[in-house]
Amino acid sequence: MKGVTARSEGTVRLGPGTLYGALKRLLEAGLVKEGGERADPERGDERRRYYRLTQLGLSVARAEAGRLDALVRAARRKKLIGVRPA
Amino acid sequence: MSPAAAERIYRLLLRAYPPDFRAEYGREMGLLFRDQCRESDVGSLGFWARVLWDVARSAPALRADAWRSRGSENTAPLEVIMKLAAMLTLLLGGVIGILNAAVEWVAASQQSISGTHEVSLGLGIFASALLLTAGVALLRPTQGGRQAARLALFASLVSVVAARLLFPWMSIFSQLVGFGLPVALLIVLYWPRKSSPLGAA
Repeated sequence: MKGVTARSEGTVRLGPGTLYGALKRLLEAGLVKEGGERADPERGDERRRYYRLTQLGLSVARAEAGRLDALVRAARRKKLIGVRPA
Repeated sequence: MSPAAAERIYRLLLRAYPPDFRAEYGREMGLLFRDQCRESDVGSLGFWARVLWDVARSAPALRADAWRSRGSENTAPLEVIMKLAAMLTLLLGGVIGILNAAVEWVAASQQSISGTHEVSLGLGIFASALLLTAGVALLRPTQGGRQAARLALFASLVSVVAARLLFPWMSIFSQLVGFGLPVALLIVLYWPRKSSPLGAA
């Protein structure tokens, strides 16, 4: 959750409900899978579940990143971003 | 407010989520909330506003998901209703309807029976036979079975209407069964419902 907040420069704050709701849907869609359960010494040795992208999830993430990249390039060509306002 | 008190409040808030989801992720969500408590001021209004916003944003959608998946999985009551409807159709429309028409035919044949009355009785027997067919088709819980039942019910209704027009003194029982049963079954067969493994009716 802290990672998401940091990467989005504070604009996206995930709570436990939003995070696990999304994880449930991703698991059902086969985009992520459980990567086992292990203790986290930094957090009082409580056992935590870990999740990892599946091959399908990686393909979907790449396709989505490609789509966004094309969108940003189109926006740049139209000078909607990347230019200083006059 | 202490972090322990905040965790107790959060455990109460977790009740907003569906039981299956709580059983699967409740512990993890509690641990994550504990992390948040360590890193934030649990006494601040902003902290609780974020927590409540998270629950309000995610719980209704998950409840709706759970409700939808339960609805699509649970088709057993519908199948039971269709089976009962099929048996009722077989009994009332088919067997009793044919017997009733045959008795009327015999009774009428002992007197001088008019041509239109004869045709009307024939149509009544034909309508009952179609109801019998619809009942048998409904016993097969497939899309094809339901389609056949719909066709047989429509044809039966048309036959009864024709018989009633030819012979207005049709018995109350014949009218109740002849009009009521196909109309009720057609309403059931065309009633919009959630998708099921058998497909929409």
